[in-house]
Amino acid sequence: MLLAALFSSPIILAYPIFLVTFGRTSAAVIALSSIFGLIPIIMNTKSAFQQVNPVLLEVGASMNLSRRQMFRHILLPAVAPTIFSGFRLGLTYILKSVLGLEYVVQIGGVGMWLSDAAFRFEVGEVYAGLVGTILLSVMFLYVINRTEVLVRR
Amino acid sequence: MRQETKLTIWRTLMILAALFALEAAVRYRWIDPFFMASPLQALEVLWSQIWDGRALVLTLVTLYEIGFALLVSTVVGLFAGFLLWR
Amino acid sequence: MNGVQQTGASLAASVQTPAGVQTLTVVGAVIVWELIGRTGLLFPELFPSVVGILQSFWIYVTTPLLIPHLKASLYEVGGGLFLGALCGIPLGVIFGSQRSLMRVMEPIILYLAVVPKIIIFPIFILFLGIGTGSKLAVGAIAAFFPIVLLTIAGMREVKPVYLDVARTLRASRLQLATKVYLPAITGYVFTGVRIGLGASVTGALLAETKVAKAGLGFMIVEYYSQFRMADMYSLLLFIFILAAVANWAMKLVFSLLLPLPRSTQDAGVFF
Repeated sequence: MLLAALFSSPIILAYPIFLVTFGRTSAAVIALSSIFGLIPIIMNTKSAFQQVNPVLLEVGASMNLSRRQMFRHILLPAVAPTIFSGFRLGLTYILKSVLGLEYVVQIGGVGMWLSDAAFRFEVGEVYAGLVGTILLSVMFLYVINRTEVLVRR
Repeated sequence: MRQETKLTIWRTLMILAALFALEAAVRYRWIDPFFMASPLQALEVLWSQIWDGRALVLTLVTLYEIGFALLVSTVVGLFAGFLLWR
Repeated sequence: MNGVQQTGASLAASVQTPAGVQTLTVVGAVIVWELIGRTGLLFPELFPSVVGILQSFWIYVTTPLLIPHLKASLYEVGGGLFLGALCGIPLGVIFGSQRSLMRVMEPIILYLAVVPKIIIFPIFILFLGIGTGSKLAVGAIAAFFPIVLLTIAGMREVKPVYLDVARTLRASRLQLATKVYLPAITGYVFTGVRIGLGASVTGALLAETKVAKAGLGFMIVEYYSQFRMADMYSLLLFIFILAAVANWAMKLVFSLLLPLPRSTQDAGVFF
């Protein structure tokens, strides 16, 4: 609930706090972006464990599995898909916030280039940066989707 | 499979049509080129940036940031999610 | 003595509930914050005292200091949401009603939805200047994606069977629209608009922090550059509360109008 509230509030506006803490370095971008990735991963991990069918656990217990076996053979396969979808969501959020933040605070990589070009009023370069950023995000999503197909199989 | 290829062709055609319209709009000055670079021009700049190595460095920095953030949030997130369930 | 024990027991019981745990977490965080601020243990400039934050919050609420900025931001966010809904809902309906068109377009929309919308801001600055217009455009494009995606999701709820039934009952096109499609998509559209609000807030205010002349986001960066941390924190708190209240009010109004579909996960990260 508290996490969900955090999830739907514009936390990214708090980026000056991270700039003060970490200075104007990549670390600030990484720290704030990790929070975005963290929220879906936490929520999905939690709900994955909550959704494990108790019957499965009872079956495991009736087969006298040790704690480790139980975790390896019953819990892990049951929670993996939900955790993976949290991971996927987290990765897309991280991608968005890293690129967006780089543009806004003008540090780091591709986003910084875009901001720099806009600052120098190089129209061609702004559009080139835009195309580059879009290509990068699209490639990332494509890779995630492919991995998901592989994992689901 | 064949259906999928057909859809991909349609998608590509649509994107190409949009880019073509944009290119024409800038070429024939329906949009002021002062504000708008044509797609070809943008690609040209992107191409030159890629070959002069700058784009590569910037992309690597971005990828490093994404990877690091993903690592942090996965490790902490799995741990915290597990603890919240307990 | 017994009374005290009873109060203690009921207190302990109430602490066991999720709401109790959350309250405790918040209270604990505030106390830790204040302790760090008072002792100056780490980053003394980063942890101004809670009292200072609340004082400046009080100033925001009681004086007209923020009114012009609030006006600018409301105009951008509201206008953005309106424009986003104006384009998103009809497009979603069109895509959703033409199955073949949807199959072509949906992946394109999904892929574009992942691109951070804020990066189009420099182009909006070129076209619309550094006034409120360019932020409104960012807000609109940010709100557009959740709205169009959820409208499509709603249209997908209309199973071909429903259409067949409606046809055998000789429903007119108008009846088809009002009796089959409208009830199916309204809940989804409402959810889309609510999430679009969050996206619009994030997009517009983030754009304000980049280049602006007025607005709440602009003030955040002003305070940051003047290093007035307490003022900045209370402004952030003010924005968060405002956004949460707007989100909650929308939820309440919509749920009074009709029972909403199963809750879709909120994502304030649509920017």
